Amino acid sequence: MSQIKIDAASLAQVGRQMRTIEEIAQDLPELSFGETLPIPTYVIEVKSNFFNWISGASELWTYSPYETVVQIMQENAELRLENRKLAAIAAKLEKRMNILESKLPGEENVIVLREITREEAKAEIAKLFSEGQTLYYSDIATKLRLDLELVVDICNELMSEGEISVADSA
Amino acid sequence: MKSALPIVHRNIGDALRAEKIAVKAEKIRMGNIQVGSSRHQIQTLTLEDKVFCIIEIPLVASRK
Repeated sequence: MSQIKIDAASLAQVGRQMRTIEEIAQDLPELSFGETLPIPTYVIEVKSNFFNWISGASELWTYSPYETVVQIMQENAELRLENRKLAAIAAKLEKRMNILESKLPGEENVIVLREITREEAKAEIAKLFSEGQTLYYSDIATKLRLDLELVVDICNELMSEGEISVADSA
Repeated sequence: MKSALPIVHRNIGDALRAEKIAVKAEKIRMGNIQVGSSRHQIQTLTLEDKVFCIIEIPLVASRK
């Protein structure tokens, strides 16, 4: 049993003597199955409070570094396991969220329909056809940001006027 | 030149069959994916409220 005396004068020196958990862990003996770990106990004399400090009295604290290290290692193992489980759950949730996001209409898919007069819409559709493209109703509605029903109605009108016709490829 | 007369079906039970149909509706409810004997997957969906469907036809400007 070793004893370290801590008082105001030697506090800085004791601080330098304190060992880290890693340093203590290095001293742990290798154990085979069933072997018990020899646990040394350290007693630290501490000037614990102001009254003890001025009276010169002290308290004795005992601690076992090996016990602490084993406990910390166990906690560490449990936390790592828990961390892995949480990471797996997070990955699953991310995957499901990506699927849901892909099914939602994105900002780029939202079209704000224009409110223009029927005559203006008809002129714009006629102009679009004059470029020589083959167009479906949905293409026209998307390109000109017009209501689908209005596009169909105007296209039928243009067809009856002989301005447009069904493409031969249909 | 083919004619494309607009016929509006409003009766319950009327069916549309085409290669391409443009639709608009207030609610579009995604259904399920049906995997049949063929290699193609068939998806189903339901349209609700103010539904409008039109069989798509390719249109071009008439040659004058």
